[in-house]
Amino acid sequence: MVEYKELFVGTSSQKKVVTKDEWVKKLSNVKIDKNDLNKLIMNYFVIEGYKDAAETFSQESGLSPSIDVDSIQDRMNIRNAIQNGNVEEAIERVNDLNPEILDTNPKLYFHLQQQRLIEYIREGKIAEALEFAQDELAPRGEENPEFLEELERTMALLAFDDTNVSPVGDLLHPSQRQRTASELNSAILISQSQEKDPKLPNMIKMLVWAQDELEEELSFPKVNNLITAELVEGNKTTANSDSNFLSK
Amino acid sequence: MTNTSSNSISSRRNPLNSATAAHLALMSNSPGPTYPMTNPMSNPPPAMLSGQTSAPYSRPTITTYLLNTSTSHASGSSARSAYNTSSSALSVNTSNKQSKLKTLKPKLPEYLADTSFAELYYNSNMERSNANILEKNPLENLALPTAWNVDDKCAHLNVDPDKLRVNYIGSGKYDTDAAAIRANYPMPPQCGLFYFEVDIISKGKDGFIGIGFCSKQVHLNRLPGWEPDSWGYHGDDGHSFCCSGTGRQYGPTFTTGDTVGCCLNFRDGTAFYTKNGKHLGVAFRDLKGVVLYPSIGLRTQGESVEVNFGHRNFKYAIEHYMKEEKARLWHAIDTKPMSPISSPLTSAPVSQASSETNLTATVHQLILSYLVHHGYSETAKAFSTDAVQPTQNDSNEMEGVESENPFLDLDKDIINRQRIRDAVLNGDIDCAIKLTNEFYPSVLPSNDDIYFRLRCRKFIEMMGLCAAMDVDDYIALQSDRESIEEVHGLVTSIKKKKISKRRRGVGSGLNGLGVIEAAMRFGQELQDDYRDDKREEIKKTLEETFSLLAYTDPRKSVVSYLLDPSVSQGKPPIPPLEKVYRQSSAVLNELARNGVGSSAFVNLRKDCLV
Repeated sequence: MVEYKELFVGTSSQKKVVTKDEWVKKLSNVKIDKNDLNKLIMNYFVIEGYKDAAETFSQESGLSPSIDVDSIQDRMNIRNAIQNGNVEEAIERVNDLNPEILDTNPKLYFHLQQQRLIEYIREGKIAEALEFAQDELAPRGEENPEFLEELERTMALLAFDDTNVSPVGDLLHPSQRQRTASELNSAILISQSQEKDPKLPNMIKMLVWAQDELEEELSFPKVNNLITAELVEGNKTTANSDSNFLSK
Repeated sequence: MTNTSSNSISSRRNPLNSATAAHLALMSNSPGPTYPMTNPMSNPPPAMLSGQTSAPYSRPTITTYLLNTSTSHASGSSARSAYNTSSSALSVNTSNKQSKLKTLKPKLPEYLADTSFAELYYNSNMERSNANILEKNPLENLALPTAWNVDDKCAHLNVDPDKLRVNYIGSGKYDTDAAAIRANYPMPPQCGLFYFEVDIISKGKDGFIGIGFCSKQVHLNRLPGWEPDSWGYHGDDGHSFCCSGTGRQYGPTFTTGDTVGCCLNFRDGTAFYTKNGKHLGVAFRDLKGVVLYPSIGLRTQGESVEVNFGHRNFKYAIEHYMKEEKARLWHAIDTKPMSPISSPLTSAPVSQASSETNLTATVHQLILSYLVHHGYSETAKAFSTDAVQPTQNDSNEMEGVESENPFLDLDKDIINRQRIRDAVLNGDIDCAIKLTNEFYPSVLPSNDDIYFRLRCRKFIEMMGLCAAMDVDDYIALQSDRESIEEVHGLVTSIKKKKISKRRRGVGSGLNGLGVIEAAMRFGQELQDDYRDDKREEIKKTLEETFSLLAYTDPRKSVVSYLLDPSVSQGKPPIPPLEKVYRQSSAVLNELARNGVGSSAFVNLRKDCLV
C-alpha cells in the first residue's frame, strides 16, 4: 500500500529553505515563449488603449493586434479626456459611441459625475461645485447609500485648504482620474464584447500574492522589487525587509 | 441514475476487460506504488493515436482514467468501468482499443480542468512517462480518489467489482456493527476543491448511512464522523458529526434514491454537502492539516450506495461553485495592496490609490524594459509617449508629484541608452564614449575594463575597415556584442536586431592609407596604455585584438570571431518581465507542491497569458 507522507500538510515546526542556487535552477526550468510575452504586451496596449504603441508593436514584432486598432482610438480619446480633467467631453464621446453604456451602468455614471465634481473643486469653482452636487449628485445619493457615502467624501474636499493634509486628498491625485478612466474604459470594452482587463497586471498581483503565500511554507528567494525583478535570498527576507530595501 | 446490479455487469464482461485484468495483474506485482500514468507503451504508433479521435464519445478517455488509476489496487479480477453499465459502446472494438486506451492521459474530473492542479497533474504524468522513473516522487500525491479501496474496508462490507458500489453484509444490530470504507487515494489539497457524490441505492433496514472523509488511521468499524479525524453527514437524522459521537443538526435526512454530495474546499479548509444537487451550507471548518480520504459507512442490513468520483456527471453544479471560488480568490489577489517596494521612489504608506499607481507604474516599466531589451525601440518610444503624456499633464497641476514620476526619468534614460547603443552598433566608439561620459559620468571611470574594451573595439573597427577597403560589399563589420552589452548592462541591457550603415562613424574623411595609419597609431596608443596591465582578462583581450594584425585578411584569422556579429559572449541579460514570469511560474509550482489549496485557482497560463 502506498504510504502518504504528510507532504501537503504545512509542518509548523520549521520552514524548509530553498537556496538561491536551487531556486535559480527551478527558474531556468520554466518554459517561456517570447511570443507569449509579446502577446501579453499587445493585449495590454489594446485594452488600455495605447493605439500608437499597439500599431508600432504590431510592425516591430509582426504580431497582429487582436482587434481593429481604429477602435482603440475612440477609447483613447475618452480616456485622455478624463485624464485631462474634461469629464464632460468624455461623457459626450461615450454617448456618441453607445448611449447604452452609461444608461445601463448607474455606478459608472455616478463615478463620472463625481469626477466632474472633483474637477470643479480642483479648479476652485466652489459655487459650481455646490450647485452641481445638489442638482446632479445628491438625488442619486438618496437612491443609493453607497453613492451617498462617496458623495460625502468628495464634498469633504471643500473642508480643507491644503489637500496634502486632507484625509480625502487622494481624490485629487492623478490616480483618481486614472481609476475613473479605467472604469469607463472597461465598460466600453464590455459593451464591445471585449475582455475588459489586461492580463499583465494580473500576473504582477498574482506574483505578489503567491510569494506571500509561499513564504508561509518555505523560505525561498523572492522578487521584492518588481521593476528590476532581482531575487532576494529567502532567509534575508524578514518581516521588515521592505523598509530595509527602501533605505538602501 | 446508472443503477445496475452486479450480475448484469458480469454478463457484459468483454475481452477488453479480461485483457485489462491480465495486464493489471501483471502490474500489481511490481514493487512500490504504481501511478495512474504508468504506461508500459510509451511510444504508441501514430495510427493508434489518430484512431482514438474517432472513438465513440469520450468514453475511452474516461475509461482510461479508471483503468489506470485502479492499477495499484488491482487484485487481478477487476478494473471494469462503471460505464459498461450504461453503454455498450466499449464492446465494439476490443483488444486493439485496449492498447489505445492505455496511451491516453488519465482524465481529470471536469471541474478541475482549468486549475493549476490540472497542469501539474498532466505535466507530472508526462515527466513520468518520459523519464520512466518508478522511484518515489512527491508528485505521486497528485493522484485523486477514483474508487473504493477494497483492501481498506471493514469486513461487514462487500464491494462490487466496479469498486464503486458498496453493500452492507453485516448483522446490523448495534452501533458496533457499523462498517466503513476508504477511497484508494486521499484528496490532494492542491486540487483546490474535491467533490464526490454518493447515490443511495438502498436505505436498507434503517438507512444509518454516513458520508464523509477521514484520515488513514481512523478505525473502519465506525460511521464517518464518530472518531477523531473523521467527519460525516448521516442519512437517518440529517446530523453532521465532527470527530465525535454526538452530532449536530445540519441538513435534511436522505434515503433511497437520493444523491448526496460532499465537497472539500482546500482554499479555506471547509466542507459542505449537497442533496440532489442542492447546496446544504458549510458543515465543517478548520480542516487543514490532515490527509483525508473520502469515506462512507453503513450500519444496517440491505444498505447500498454507489460513489461517483467525477467519472460521470454530478447532480450538483460543482463547476459553477469552482468558478465562484476562483472569483473569490482573485478578488483577494486583486484587492491585496501592492507594497510601495515596487516603486522605490515613493515611500508613502500604501493607500488603495498609491497601490494602483504602483501597479500601473510597475507594469509600464516592465513593458518598457522588455521592449528595449528586445529592440522594439519604436514601440518603446510610442508607448512612453502615450503612457507618460497624461501623467505629465497631471504633474503640472499636482505639485510635488513631478519629481516622483519615474517615467520621465526612465524615458530620458531609454533615449540616452539608445543613443549610446546606436553609436556602438554603428561602430562609432568615440561617440559612444562621449555620450556615456555625458549621461553617465561615473560609468567609465569606475569600470576601466569596459573603457578598455571599448577602445579595443574601436581598434577592431578600424582594422575591419582596413580589411574592407579591398572588398566593396564587405559588410562583416559588425559589433562585438560584448562591449555593447557591457556598457548597457550597467543601466539596462540591450540587444539590437538590425544593424545597418555602420561604417559612417569610422570611415568618414579618411582615405585608404589614412585609415591604416590612423589604425596603427591608435593601436600603438592602446598598447602603451595597457602593456603593463596585470589583469589576465585585459592581457588576453589585448593579445587577441592585436593578433588581428598578423593576418592580411583579419576575416580569415583565428580571432575573426571578433568581427563576427553572431558571436555573443556572456549570457544576454534577462528582461525583468521574463524574470517576473519565471518567478510566477516557479512560485505557483512550489505552492502546489507544498499542498497550498488556493494555488489550484490560479492557472498562470490561462489567467495571466493571452
